[in-house]
Amino acid sequence: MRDYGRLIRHAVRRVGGAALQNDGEDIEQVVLLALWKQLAREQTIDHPASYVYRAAVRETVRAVARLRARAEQTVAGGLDEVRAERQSDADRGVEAREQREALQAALRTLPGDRARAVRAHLAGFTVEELMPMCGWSYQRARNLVARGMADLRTQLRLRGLS
Amino acid sequence: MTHVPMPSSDPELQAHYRDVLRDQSSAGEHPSEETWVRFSSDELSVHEQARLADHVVACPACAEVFRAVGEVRAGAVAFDADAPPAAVVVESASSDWYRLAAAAALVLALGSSAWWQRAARRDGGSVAQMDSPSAAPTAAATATPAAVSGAPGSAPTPPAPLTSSWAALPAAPAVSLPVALTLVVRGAPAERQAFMRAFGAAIAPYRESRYAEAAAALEGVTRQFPGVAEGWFYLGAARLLAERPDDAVAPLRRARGSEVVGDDARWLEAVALARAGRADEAATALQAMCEGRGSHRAAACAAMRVGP
Repeated sequence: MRDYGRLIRHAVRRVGGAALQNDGEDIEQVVLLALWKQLAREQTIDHPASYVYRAAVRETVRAVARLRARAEQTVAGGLDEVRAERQSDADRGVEAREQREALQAALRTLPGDRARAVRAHLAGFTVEELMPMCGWSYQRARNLVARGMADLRTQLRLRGLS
Repeated sequence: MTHVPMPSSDPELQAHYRDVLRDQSSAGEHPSEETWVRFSSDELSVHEQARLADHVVACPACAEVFRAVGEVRAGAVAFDADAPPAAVVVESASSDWYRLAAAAALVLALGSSAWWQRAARRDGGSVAQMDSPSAAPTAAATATPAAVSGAPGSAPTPPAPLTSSWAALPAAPAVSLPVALTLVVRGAPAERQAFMRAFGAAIAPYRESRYAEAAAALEGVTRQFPGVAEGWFYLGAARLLAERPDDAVAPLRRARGSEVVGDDARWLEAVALARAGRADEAATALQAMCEGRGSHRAAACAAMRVGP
């Protein structure tokens, strides 16, 4: 259980980055307590290891959500400025907007899994992350990304956008 | 069509795609906790998984969740493989069994907390405190030291006699299978898991106050795993609670060596002796406890004054 607490803390900290350096212990305590509470509600648990694992996943989801909410609260003051800046960018860049629309149109021409792989790749997910995300083998994920990106470039070229 | 130069290298396309995502007002409904749990256990259908993937790609918040869950998933696989995950600091040399026992101890100890709640209701006590969030740390504090740290002397609370006589049938001792068990049970992971399965099944009727049934089941556990003192302890307790005090003495005696339930075993042994009509032996047991430093010292001294 304590190992799961550490594991969750580690996972959340990796995701949260440097901003969470001081929250490590707190996360572990919160997670452990929450796991205890979850387990305390159960009278009989048929498969303890599986139950604890599922509880750990649940608490991970909650921990990330809590941290994100806290982070959003922290930056709330600066959010208006960010929005204003973004709006200004958008207004300034008609060309950029057209590029985005073209990219979206090109993406829409790709078939199901290939489009999914390309979108994930463009969003910054690695092939290793795509594997569990989509249930694909390494080869399949890699091929879908490679072929999908080739298709995307072809589409962009066909539209005179390359 | 307006000609718009489009960057074609991946980083530039990625930057444009990030802008695309930013422009989207919503990536749709976030996956529920249950969806994440099912995802992490490979229980999603192909359609559900595709929907989750599409959302994660378009939703930075859920991408964070996905990555964190992925870390936990990878770490859990390492648990299963008996290899310490890179993220985890291993506390003890008996690491793999530690994990299994820790999880099991928690489950069992908390099962016992449910028992105490039932006992509290039976005795007219309030369980509201146990159910309230603010009281949860107390519940955890009761069970955690024995279950997680395995510290000596962190045995379950001794069963207080329910009547004025110290030798009255006691409340059932809480089920606590501590990490200290790691010091006792060794062997292949399969053997450890076999113990957990056997003990878990045998202790279930005990938690439901079906002591005769529990005793029969625990006999099998102690035959199979004679080196685990806690198995003997719960066998003795179950027999005592099933009104078989004579039969309870021997297993309780074998549990004396447990760091966790040893003190309780001595106390219950004295109770069993008294209830079996073996007054001299009960008095000797009480005297030993009264002169010792165990957690039942005061109760034993007081019982000596009363007599069996």
